[in-house]
Amino acid sequence: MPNTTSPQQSEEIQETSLSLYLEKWSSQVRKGSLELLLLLFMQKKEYYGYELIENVKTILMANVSEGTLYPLLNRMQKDGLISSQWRTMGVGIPRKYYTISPLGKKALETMKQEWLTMSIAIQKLSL
Amino acid sequence: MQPFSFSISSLGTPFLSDHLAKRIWKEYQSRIERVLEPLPLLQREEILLEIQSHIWESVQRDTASSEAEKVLNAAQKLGHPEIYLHPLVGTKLFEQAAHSFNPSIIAKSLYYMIGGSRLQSLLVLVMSILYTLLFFLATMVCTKIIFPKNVGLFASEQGTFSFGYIIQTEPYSDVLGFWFIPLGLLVCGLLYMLITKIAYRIVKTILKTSEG
Repeated sequence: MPNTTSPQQSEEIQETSLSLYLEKWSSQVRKGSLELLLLLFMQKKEYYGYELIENVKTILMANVSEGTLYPLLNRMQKDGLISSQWRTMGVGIPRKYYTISPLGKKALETMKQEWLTMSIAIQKLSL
Repeated sequence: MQPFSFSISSLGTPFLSDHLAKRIWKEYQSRIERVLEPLPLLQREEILLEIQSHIWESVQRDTASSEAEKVLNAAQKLGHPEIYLHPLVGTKLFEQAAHSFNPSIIAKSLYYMIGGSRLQSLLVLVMSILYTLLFFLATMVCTKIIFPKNVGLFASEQGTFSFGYIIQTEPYSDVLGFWFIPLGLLVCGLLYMLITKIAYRIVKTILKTSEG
């Protein structure tokens, strides 16, 4: 069968697949750095789930699916990086507060170092 | 702020006054409950309470005109519970299975994984085959009681070994005798634990990649 795709159409197809590729890559980078981001937030103060998610959304300037953060927080707690405590407020529903643990602080230092190394490498190669 | 000891009575819809808003929350809550069904009651209630707390916080800050709209917005921002709770339920279920080695929990967790990714379905298939083989092995070991001369670990004069059920018992000699039953069951038990532990590690890795 003869190829009926015009150069313009072919360029459009390439553009679409590139944007899909970048979207996937961007999502993977975010996914990989989310734990680091959460630990960085929690090293300063304790947060409850909603507050943490709002802060992540603000700093990433992106629309994060809010529900996906709860399984991540749960696993981080299971791995001993953070701990949680339920607290009643004056009004409304109790909040579950998350705090970084000593193990989490240790992990955070290594993760920050790793991130820095990667960042320097990218900067060096981009020059 | 006061420390809070968790109690089931904290659940419900005390934070909503509008009838439609309550209905929207109830529907969303029943979807969550369906996903969480395989988990123990206390874990289910705690996850549900945290989501309810999230919805309440979201409703407080939403500037939409009606309460129903606010709840709807909050639920939409949270996403589909069938998707975002999948890694959480999967991990918790396999944790229970790997620690208790309870066959009913293992069966439940395998059933749960069928609805997951292709990789999860493949793992379910492999694990189901391994558990079935193990079940047949354990059954075969126990049949030594019925066929004591034909079932066991046999050695020939040439130094070759046969394991399982043999029709022609000559020129083989039974190596273990009735010790075949406890030793065989012990091996089956160890294999069962090994398969479960390995599967748990694989599941944990698979589910970790689907978070965030």
